[in-house]
Amino acid sequence: MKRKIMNKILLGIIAWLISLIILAPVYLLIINSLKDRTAASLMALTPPEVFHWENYLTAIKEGRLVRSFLNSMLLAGSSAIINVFTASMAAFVLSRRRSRINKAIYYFFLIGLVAPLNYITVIRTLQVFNIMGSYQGFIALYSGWLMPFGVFLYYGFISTIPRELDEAAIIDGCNSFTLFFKVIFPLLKPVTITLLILNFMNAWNDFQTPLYILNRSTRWPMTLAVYNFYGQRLADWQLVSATIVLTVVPVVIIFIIGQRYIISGMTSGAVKG
Amino acid sequence: MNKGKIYPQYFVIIGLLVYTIFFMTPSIIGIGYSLTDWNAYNANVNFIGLKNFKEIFVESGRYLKYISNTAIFAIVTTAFKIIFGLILALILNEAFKTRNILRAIFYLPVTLSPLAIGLMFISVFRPEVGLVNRLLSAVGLDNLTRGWLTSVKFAMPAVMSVETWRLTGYCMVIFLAGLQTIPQSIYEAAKVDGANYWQRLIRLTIPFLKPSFMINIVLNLIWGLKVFDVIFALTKGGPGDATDVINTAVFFSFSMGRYGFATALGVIAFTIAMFLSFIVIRVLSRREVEW
Repeated sequence: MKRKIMNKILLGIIAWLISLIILAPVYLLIINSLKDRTAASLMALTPPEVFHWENYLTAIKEGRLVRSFLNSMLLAGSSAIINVFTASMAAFVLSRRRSRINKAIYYFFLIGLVAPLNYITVIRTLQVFNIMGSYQGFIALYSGWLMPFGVFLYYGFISTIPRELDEAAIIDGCNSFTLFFKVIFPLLKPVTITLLILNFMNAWNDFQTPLYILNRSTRWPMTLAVYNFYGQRLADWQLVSATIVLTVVPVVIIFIIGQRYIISGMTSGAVKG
Repeated sequence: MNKGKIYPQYFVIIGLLVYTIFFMTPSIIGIGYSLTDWNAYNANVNFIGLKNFKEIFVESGRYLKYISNTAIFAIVTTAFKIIFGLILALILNEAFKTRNILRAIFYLPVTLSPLAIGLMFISVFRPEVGLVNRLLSAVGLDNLTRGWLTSVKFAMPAVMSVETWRLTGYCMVIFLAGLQTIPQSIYEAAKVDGANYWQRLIRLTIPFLKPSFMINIVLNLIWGLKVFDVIFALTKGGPGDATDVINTAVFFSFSMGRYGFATALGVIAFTIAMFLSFIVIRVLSRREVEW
């Protein structure tokens, strides 16, 4: 028994030592963002002598990060919300009416879980709809891009809700709209929260799409603004570090609050539960 | 009861349209454009047959190298992520006090922007002052210090290590979920029969984790195939073209205005992903039947 306890303590120590591989670069990033220019360029592990919080103000001002922060919020937020509705409605019907065509549609959605986006022809498509480089184009693109995962998650969850519920609701006078929005959708809440979080994170972290389709800097999201700032201010590592911290902070906050939902969403593909 | 009335088909339409128009259609018309000389300097788009593919596979050796770089990147990072992910999962599956915090720490990089991670690691790999070289010097291995990202030989391993750092936590979580499905009674029985830890690991745990291995292998291969942000942030495909992969080549061809050619590269990535996705769907749908 005593050996078992010792083993557990030992395992804990080993695990914490390994975790330094994750923590050290993050720690380095944070302390560098608070040093002065000379100290930051040395990139040492020692904490700053004086905490230069003003680096953050400088970075926000010179990187025009307020605008980009709002852009990211708008793009990630609206596409996450649109996706939750379109994906849940589609998955509801696909899961309940498993006709041959609906099965085919479901598999057609699953292809999108892995297929890469062809950004160049995406530009062409956006031009056809006259929404290239606009917020609308961006949101439309994300909404389409997020469908496969949304449908996949909802489809599995809806299958676990008994059909008798639908029948009872219809007998009680629901039509398909009220059945879905008043009865089914509230039951999907855990998946909805998971999806809102994951969709938001995916869209927030995306760099490639804006790189291809957003040419006007006023519409840049955080990732692009940070990359651009890095290109211009390579010598000011303290400011570059501060912008990197500012891009990841919202995601870290969401991660800490919604950890349970994130993990359940990410693993549901592997293990049903 | 009339199913068509309760579950109206138009519920599917909006999502299906957005997905079809903005995701699948570009991929499909991409196949058509890959057979043209579509570019930034000429308004006419001319059909040129398989010329783009001929350039990629026959005439220019560069692109074959990028494709093989992509394959190496995908396979090597997948292997390391799975090995480290499994080790972490086995440690953090034991019941000790701080394991939940540790799980969160290891998972954290998965949620962060790959671009931000790439930029962050630029400082870690810096020649004189970077963390890696500082640590090597500190333990007396000064002769191993180098400019990791500027070395033709070591840039690729450096980039791959960042990808491994980023996604090992994902593999860990998949394995942890898989470990939950193994009935404890089997372990008790094996213990009674006198099986030691390693025998239990190899004979019981790993076979039970087969579905988790499948998911991790397929998903990570696909992510490896799609890699862009991390490489673009760290090396931009450099030094020279030592770390160029399919997606960086797509971007640089696009920047040069060679749209048709860039699309042809995209079609190759799409084809490989389709092949892998076929496996994913087989795996996912088979599991649905089993459970």
